[in-house]
Amino acid sequence: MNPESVLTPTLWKLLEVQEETGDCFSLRLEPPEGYRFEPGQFNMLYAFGKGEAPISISSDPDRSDQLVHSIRAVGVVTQELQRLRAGEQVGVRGPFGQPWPLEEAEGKEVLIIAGGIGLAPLRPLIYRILAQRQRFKQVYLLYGARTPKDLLYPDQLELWQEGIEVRTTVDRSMAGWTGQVGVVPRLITAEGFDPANTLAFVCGPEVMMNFCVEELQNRGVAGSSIFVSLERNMKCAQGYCGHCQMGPYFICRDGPVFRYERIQPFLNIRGG
Amino acid sequence: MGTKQEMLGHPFMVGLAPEHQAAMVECAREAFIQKGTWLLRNGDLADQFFLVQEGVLSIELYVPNRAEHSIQTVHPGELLGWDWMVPPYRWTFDVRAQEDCRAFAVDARCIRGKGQVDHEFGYQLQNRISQVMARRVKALRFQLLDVYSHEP
Amino acid sequence: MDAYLLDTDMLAQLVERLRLEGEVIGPQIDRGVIAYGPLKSFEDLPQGWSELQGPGLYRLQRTGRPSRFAYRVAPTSWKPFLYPPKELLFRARKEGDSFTVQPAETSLEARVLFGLRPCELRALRVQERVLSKANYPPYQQRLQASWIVAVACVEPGENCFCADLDSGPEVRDDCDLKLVEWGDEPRYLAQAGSERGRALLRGLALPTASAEDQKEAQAALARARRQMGRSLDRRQTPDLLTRKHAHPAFDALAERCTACGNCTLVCPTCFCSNLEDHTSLDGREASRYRVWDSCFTLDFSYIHGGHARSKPSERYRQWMTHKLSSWQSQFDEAGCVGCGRCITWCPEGIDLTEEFRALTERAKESTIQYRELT
Repeated sequence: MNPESVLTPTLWKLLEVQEETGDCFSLRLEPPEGYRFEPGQFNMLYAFGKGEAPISISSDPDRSDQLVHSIRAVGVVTQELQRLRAGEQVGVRGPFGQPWPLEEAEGKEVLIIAGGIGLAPLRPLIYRILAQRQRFKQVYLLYGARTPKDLLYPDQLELWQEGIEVRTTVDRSMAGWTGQVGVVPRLITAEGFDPANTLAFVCGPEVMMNFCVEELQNRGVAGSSIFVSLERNMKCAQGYCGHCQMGPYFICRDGPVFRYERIQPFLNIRGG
Repeated sequence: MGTKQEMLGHPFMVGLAPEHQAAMVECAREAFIQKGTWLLRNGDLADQFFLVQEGVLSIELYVPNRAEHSIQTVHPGELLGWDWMVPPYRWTFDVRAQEDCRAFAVDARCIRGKGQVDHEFGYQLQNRISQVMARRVKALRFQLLDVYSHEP
Repeated sequence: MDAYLLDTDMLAQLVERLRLEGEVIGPQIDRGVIAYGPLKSFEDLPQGWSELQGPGLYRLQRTGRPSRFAYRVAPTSWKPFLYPPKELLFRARKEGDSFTVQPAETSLEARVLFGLRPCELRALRVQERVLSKANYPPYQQRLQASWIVAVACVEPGENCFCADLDSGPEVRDDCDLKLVEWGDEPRYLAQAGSERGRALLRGLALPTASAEDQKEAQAALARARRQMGRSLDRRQTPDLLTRKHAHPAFDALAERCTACGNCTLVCPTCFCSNLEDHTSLDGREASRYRVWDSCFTLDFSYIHGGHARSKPSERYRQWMTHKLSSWQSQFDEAGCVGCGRCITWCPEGIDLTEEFRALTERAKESTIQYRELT
């Protein structure tokens, strides 16, 4: 990013607003020439006059004609973003943060573990893996949501089955659901991966990640082979506002993706 | 107070064979827990369990970015703690004393040792604790159903 | 390094010369405290004044001596001059379906910051490193437009502990000019710390300080080093958060800390800010400001669903462990400079050094007692 613009958003054209499942929606944006990001990174999205929110990028990192953000409307800014219509503008700063280190997974089995809207920051990783499928051994997507209607990107979950093993589960069933019911860690137990040669990428609510990591470690996956993506109150995304600090880390700059063994000492400090 | 005799009167002990009661008593001490104390902490070594005699304790779950909240309370006459039975012998929840409490604290290593030597004792104990666990799981399922909510 | 010996008249001459470089900001009596602000004249310097500082205590005091730098530190540090409490980042204007964004321009009047204490100079450099790593350009731009004149401390106060943080009492960081004031009939040792500072001093035709003068100044600083009112054992600071997060001292602290945030406002290194967005009443104009924030507020750690640090004890812990420990991991230096402001301006008189000491001691008797069965 050029130095004048670090504190100021650049204006991007909104191509489309898509309703997603649950309380989510996606913004499809037109990025400026030369914009690049890596899977796991995020942008700060600015809604005129309302403010900014950190939103992970959910689209294919190898497509430069469009960029997608999947968002849950939970605050003033995200609710305003939801009201926007195609043709309007969104202010963008980014990309920020450390990406998923996919190169470390070369020649290994890959576990992509997602909970709820945690699938959104993992989708660019899935696109990249599908594009370079031969670089990896068995690849699993283990995905859980609150209810069947909260499973994000249902059409793609079907499509991806052709390239990777997709498993879904829900915490609470509904009438007509014939799939798995139970928490995500149970999906980990069921698969026959080789823990010594597996890399895990995990994103979801912090408690869900804690339970998944515990299960992964029970299976013998080392803390150095597990990556988690954290969420904190990010305001500036550059490290001067201080809000997203956790122990010695600025989540915006040192994360949001962390090697588990590096962040582990700080994860279980109450009110840390 | 704090006698072996008193411990024999705790509901968990009633009905155990005398030699098994004696084994339990040999592994036990009396514990006084001040109000507000964290008695068990998630992740810590589960090296004992408690037969509550006086006072109420709450089982709490910590959810990052939310305050701790109590999911169940444990009362006099009840047993507290079973993670000591299952590897890796670590507590999987937090327990805080809601008021000043008194309990019999039973040393887990001592009990596991005795259970390995005397399988009958081990079986009887497992059986009783399984009943406690089953009751709590049933209660949790009932909680999960959220029967008082407005939603259908 | 060239050293000059100045008397009061020559010091006045130096200040006048500095005026040519920009507006001179310096210490002066203002509304019952010694504060930093524009110096209208050399006479504004707080000659004959000092202050008493203690936990939750600040009183001006007459010294009965003509010294001008017998005070310790002002309530508010130099932070506002380089990192203003409120700063416009951009304005936006709505035009139909689209809008435009106009970045703010940093106002850059040339200024002379005159009279930074060594701890304050360290704090300035600490913030410089934080904000350049964070790529916040206005700070660096303002710093480049400023002259920095530091004055060593020969009379540390009750709340001072810069010696333990290696930030004083002598001037230890980069600046344009550094001074030492000592003696009952004050004399000033002046040295340059930059090329432009050297040129400026040369141009004033000042007398050179003798080896004897320099030795006297050194001796005064060596005495000061032994007179620190507080102490802090830095060997105990690594991994403070992971080692001590559950220490009961934090719970005891929570009974006193009101989470008012004074400590973060007066702290010369605290940099945390919030970003605020405003719109005009007709909704056509919008602006964003960076404003100082405090990790003691509840909303500081808000994310949807709740707050990462909901209790005041967790917030004090965050602040203290950040200053003394996590900062070291982030920036390879301490985030505390030992100025003692957080102790002075805490309405409860909470003493950082004392609380830190309590953490390094073993917890008091357990709240669980065991007794063998009879």
